[in-house]
Amino acid sequence: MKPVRRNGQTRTVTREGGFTLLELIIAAGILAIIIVNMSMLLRATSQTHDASEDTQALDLHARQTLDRIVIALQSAAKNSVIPAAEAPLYSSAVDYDVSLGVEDGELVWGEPERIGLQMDTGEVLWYRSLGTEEERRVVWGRYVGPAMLGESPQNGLDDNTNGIIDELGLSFTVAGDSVIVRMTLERTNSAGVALVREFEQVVAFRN
Amino acid sequence: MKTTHQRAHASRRGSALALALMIVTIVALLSAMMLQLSSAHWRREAGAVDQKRAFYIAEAGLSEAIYGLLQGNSGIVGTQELPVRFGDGVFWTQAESDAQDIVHIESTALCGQARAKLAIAIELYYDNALNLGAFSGRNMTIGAGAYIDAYNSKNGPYSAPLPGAMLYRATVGSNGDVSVGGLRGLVPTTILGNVTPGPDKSVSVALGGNVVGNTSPRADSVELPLITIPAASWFGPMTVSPAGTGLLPSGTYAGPNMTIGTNATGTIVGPAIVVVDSLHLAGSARLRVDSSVGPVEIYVSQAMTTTALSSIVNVTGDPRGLSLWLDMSTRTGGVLSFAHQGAFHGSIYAPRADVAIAANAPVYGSVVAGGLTLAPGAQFHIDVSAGDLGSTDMSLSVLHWRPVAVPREIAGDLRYEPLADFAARGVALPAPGAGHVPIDMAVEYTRDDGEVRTFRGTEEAFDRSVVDAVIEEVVQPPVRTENRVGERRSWAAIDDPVTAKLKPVKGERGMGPRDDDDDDD
Repeated sequence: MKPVRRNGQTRTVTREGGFTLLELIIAAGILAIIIVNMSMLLRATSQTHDASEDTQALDLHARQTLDRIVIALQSAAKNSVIPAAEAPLYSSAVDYDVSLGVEDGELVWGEPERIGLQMDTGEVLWYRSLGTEEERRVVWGRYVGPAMLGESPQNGLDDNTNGIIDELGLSFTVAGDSVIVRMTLERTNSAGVALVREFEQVVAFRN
Repeated sequence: MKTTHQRAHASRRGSALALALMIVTIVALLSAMMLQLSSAHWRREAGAVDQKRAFYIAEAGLSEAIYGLLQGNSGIVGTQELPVRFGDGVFWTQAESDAQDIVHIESTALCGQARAKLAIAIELYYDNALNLGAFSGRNMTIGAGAYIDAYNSKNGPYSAPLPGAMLYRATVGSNGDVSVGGLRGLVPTTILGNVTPGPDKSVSVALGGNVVGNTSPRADSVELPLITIPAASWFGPMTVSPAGTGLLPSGTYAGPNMTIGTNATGTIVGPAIVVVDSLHLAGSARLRVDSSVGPVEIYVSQAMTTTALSSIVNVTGDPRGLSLWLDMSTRTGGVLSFAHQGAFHGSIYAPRADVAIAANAPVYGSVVAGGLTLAPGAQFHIDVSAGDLGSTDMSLSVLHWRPVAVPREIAGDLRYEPLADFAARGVALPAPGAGHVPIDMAVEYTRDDGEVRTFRGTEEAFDRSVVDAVIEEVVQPPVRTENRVGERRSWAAIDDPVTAKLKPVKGERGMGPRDDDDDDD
């Protein structure tokens, strides 16, 4: 460009020819490649992020559920836990009594409680005074799988070699003064990715 | 008038900047959304972590309180107004004992925005070899059909535990193997408690035997200390002729032997210490011990013989009132067969002898011996307080543990973060070791719910708003200004009539300030 003075006015002279069709096609092609790659990258990132978020949310949900179970069983009297299944047996529900305190030198026990798996809904349910008019029921957790990770139910084998045979997604196994709680959570996220997480916690009876 | 060139110039001016601004805005919005999502997730995670931290800080509070109790402090550590700092949070504990001397401790912890509160009930007792319950220095044999459980004589006479409500666990132990028998007829062998064999030893339970407790071996052997014979005034032979009666009043006596003839009755009135080389109960002889005023301790250095018809009767039925200290060895005394007519309420300590408990002699108390055998059908009711005979070292057993709801006034304000608040106010929180409250006063009182509790601590740590009526208040002038774990303060000192100021105020609601000038001692 160079300035041209004419009749006292200054104007800039530029090339006004524009782009050729070939230039436009090449530019559009490059832009399309960039956009497609960007969108693929964004989509992959988004999926990874969503999966990570969903896994973390599932872990958090599992930990909160396990924490409730742990505190309840810690407060239970060992000799009140029914059934007290030892490996390779297990139970997917336990009944227990919780100590409320000591009065006049005697232990005071609360109403019987139960923690169990509702198979059809995959929920962990807590009951108090089950089967009575005062029955209380609270959902402590969801997404419990039909079987423990790596276990094929009802084949009589310990497929996942954890010492328990044919265990469901929630299992209780008594070992000495402790109970081992195992739980497998399964959930399919919005992207259709199946998430499966397994958890295990040893709870020592305090009473 | 604008020319074509000017219009073209104007149309291009600033378009790149607008485009860039739009892209930057979109990226910024996306970033903000991502940040918000991550932040919300992080807050949920942090809340869960804080909740666990608060739980474990409350657990630490319970441990610190128990440590303080064992050191002779009150078990109170910090207060709600000035808690102690632990890790990333704070805690404070409250401790009171009930009418059965069971100590109830509550520990409250705050960490970030999480709160946790735990309660525990423990029983303190003095360390003494007799607290071993039923113990054998060598292998132990429990005959078929035998029954062993535990109770606490401090709470009154023995009563059989209800099914599923085992308040006390029997402690059966050995430095060797333990053999538990099975069925005796239709009667199973039952042990309501732990059976602890020696290191690398085991418990064998025959078919029909039932151990409701742990059977894991102990880590280290238990060394049974030898008996120290106390000094006693020489009295000479203590003999009661057949069918006769004899009486030893309260005091200390030493002699070569104590012999009670057939159908004779010898009575020892406590508090008394009797030291003899041998003790013989013939035929249907009866040794009667009256421990209503004080305990009777009988030391035997060489031999002891009883018969299936003889009896040692502790008239109070309190095992803490009678103890037999048998210093003979198996080599010199052979197996001490504790044949006995009727129940025996007391404790036997025979670290060098083998002792056999017969079926017709139910024992209420404890037996610790070099070797111990329970005959088939024997009954043994272990008194967990059997060791309260003067040793000053204290131990504890946990009766109850559970999480409790955090009070609304503590849980209510979730935005309150304790460490930030105390830091903002310039308050330096003490470490747990410096937060122990000593025992300068004791108040026995009735709570609003009717329960009788005893508070031990300081006036500052006592919440009088929970008092319905004060039964008795004991104030001990502080003897130390320091308040550190490691300095022993005896629980017994609070009851010392010389240093304590008794202040019974029955029926009075203890809400107002106390009259410190009250000089009624």
